[in-house]
Amino acid sequence: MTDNLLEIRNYSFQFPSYPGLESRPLFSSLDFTLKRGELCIILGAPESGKTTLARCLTAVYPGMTRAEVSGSILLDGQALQTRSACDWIETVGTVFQDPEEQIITTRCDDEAAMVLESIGREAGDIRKKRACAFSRFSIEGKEERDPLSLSGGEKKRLLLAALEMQNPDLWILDETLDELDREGQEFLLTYLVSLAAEQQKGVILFASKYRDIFDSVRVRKALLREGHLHEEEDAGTFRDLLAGEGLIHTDRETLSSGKYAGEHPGDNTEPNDQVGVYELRDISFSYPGKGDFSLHLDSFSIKEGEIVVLAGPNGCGKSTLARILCGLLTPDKGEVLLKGSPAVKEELNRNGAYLFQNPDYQLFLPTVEEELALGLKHRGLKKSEQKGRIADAMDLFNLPSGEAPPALLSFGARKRLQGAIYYLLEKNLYILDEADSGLSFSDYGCIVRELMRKGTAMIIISHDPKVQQMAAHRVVEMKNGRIIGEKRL
Amino acid sequence: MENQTDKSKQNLAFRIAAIAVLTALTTVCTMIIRVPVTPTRGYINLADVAIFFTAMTFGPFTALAAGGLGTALADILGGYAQWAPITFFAHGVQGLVIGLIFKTSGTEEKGKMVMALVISFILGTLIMAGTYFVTGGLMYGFGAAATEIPGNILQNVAGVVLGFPLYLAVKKAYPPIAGYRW
Amino acid sequence: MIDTLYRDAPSALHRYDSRLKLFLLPLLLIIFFLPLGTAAVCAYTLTFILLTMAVLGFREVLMPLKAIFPLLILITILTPFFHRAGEPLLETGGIVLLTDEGAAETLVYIARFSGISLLFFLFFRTTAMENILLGLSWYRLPYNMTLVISIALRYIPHLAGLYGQIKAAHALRCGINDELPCRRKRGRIGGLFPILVSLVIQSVKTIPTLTMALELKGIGRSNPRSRCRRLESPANIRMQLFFTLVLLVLMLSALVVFLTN
Repeated sequence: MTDNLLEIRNYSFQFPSYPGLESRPLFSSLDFTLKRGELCIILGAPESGKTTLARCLTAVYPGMTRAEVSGSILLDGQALQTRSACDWIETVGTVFQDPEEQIITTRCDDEAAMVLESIGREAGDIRKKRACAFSRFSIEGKEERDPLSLSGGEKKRLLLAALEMQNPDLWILDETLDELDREGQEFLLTYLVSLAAEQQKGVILFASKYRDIFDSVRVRKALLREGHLHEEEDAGTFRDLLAGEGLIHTDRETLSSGKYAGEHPGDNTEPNDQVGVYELRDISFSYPGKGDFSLHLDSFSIKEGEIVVLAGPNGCGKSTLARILCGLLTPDKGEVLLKGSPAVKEELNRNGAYLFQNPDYQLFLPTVEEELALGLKHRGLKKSEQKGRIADAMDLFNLPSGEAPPALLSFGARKRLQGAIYYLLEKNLYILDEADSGLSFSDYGCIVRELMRKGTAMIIISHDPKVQQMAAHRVVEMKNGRIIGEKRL
Repeated sequence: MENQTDKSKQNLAFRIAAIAVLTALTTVCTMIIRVPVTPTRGYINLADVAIFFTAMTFGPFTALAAGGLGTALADILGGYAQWAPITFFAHGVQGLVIGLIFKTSGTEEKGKMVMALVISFILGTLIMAGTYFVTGGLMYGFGAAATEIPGNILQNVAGVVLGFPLYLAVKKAYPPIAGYRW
Repeated sequence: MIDTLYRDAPSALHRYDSRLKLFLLPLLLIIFFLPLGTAAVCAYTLTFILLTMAVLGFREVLMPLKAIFPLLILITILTPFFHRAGEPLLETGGIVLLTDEGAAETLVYIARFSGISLLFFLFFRTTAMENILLGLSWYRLPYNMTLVISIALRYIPHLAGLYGQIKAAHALRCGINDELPCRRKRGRIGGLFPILVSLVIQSVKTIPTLTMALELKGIGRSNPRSRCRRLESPANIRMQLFFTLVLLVLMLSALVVFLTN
């Protein structure tokens, strides 16, 4: 057993290129060493390659990706590519960023037991370990539940419990702090520190945001940027490095300042006292089969050019309200007025734009250009006219190439493409539903800025206070399906 | 640098994943996505579209497993469980045959492709509609079983008319899929 | 949106071991196809109706029959046309509408088809999917096959939900001043096609991630697997075994009687 649990030597990784989409090396000559007993937090902006690195370390990459790889990764002194991923599970284990991608069974106890069953442990032994792990991560009593019916935080805790049962030497955690509440984050971090120190494990925790709880523990921290891992002895220098990547919250940085200065629509462009483009009256709505939630609104209106932020905890009805405005849900009672007259579903569909968290739902054509042209074709524009507008939109939204297949673009680029598609459509309302999740601040800023220029009403749903304060005229606070307060900015 | 490990271990995981997801897709296409056929006010489901797509993209074995399982699960979940074993055979073999035809014809040449489409439509329809006719006939008489033939042929027409463009569109929009056939 | 037939209830059939049910199902099915005569088939089906009523209640009998009743009507209309031998029962203007043999044949078909439908309904109504899978693996169905089925069952609601989301997303892809609401312009199937493409791309994209999840769960290893959860035999398994044996003997003796006649 060598002292170094993990050694990455001169490692390079590049996804294959496709027509219209030239790929660049994600990592080039990456070097990194992790000793037993060490916990390292690797920070990186969205799309800096954290998830890819996590997958490389568990030996599932390159696998089917057809990526070009050079250099080596050594686990316990043994080259990773000498075994298949399934034969490494005693040594390395992971929790995926999106737990739904990792869960493959329909019962929590089966899910947790599966790895040990593959290794061939005795059933009694597995049960004992499971009881212990379930109680540590407080999911006891949920053994027979469907894992997919758990909350986001519970799903992560289930996978952590499964990882504890698996008991590998190297733990790879991909954004595992996300979706855990503050208490859960503190618990996990303390647990990981003691796991590394007492059981001589190696732990790598990926994060896309610097959290203040990281200050409380003395661990290694590294920044993944442009295919390299940067470490700084000095805490202050490291913080500056993070700030440069937008991974740490500084007060300076909002859309209304810095490079976006002067674009804040407040003050001078405050929408005049016209009637709202959209008005809701006495709306009530509940999901069939879900008795515990209902939305009740006496009135809600939004004016042309007005930007409203909807805030409130998960499940308070923000998305439901937004979906009603777009005609994606029809209220049980009450009416939606569009420019003063009641509107039916079809009209609302045509007037509203809804940027889903997942941009892929709307994409189906082989190239970026065709995706953008579709809306213009419906409008009956001539080919030449279409060309100009498409080029314009591609420029504004910083899209790589008209030839590129949308399904293969990076997540940020797909989000921008979704923004560009809506930009080219004439709409009366734009809704950004948590459009900032998994997106770098500059990508998000680009989408918001360009859509704001259209001067229509806009609704922003976000948890991030930074996003909330950056552009809004009004913040509407919601709770339990009701509007509980309103704040003008 | 090539991965030095035995590829077959990863292939097993991939095959399980592919069959499972395509089975689920076939079930969803059968149960949820329904196309109203206006004159009769009846519905046709898109099971055959999914099977055509699977056979062309993933090859005969995946089509056998996913096509058969997916439609059989749709029967079980939808309350027509008595049909499940028959459906498994009818759609599974249909997928297998279509997959084999495209495997031998290849997908490069246009003329061969059209031939393969025609042959697979005819054979697929014969197998699928034939199985239902024979087994239906044994259960409740060939008179009543014959009334289902037109509907089953229509299903296969939808399978070719939608399934082939679907294959082309998905292949274009998501190029890595070209490496998924086995 | 998607729901299995299974409903939990404390009935005797629910408690009946799924391995025994899996063993009996094909045997009970075969009996329907033996040329036993009209009365026997009708009586056999009647036992299933009575069994369903006794175990699950009257309303549960109607459920599978409701699903097949259009077909039952078709059988009633069409079968007599194909069976014109025998004594005419109904005649108009020299055309025989119904003969006694035709009527008997129709009755057999209706009884057989309703009986088979009820048999399968009873099985899936009283046996949870995971118990069916556990039972099948007890009969040495390879692990990878049950794995495929259980993963498929996990993904069906997921993809069904995805279809709904994609449909909603595509509905918003037209603007205020489009010449025509785009959905009507392209017709129903044309409007469905982009949704289908998005759905298929999304499904296919989950395959590589699922592959990784499976690899990291140790699928593909060459060592033998262990199994944490097994079918628990019910407390009265001996009684059930005995009952199954009695049923077997009854079936066999019926067969012997039939063959010797």
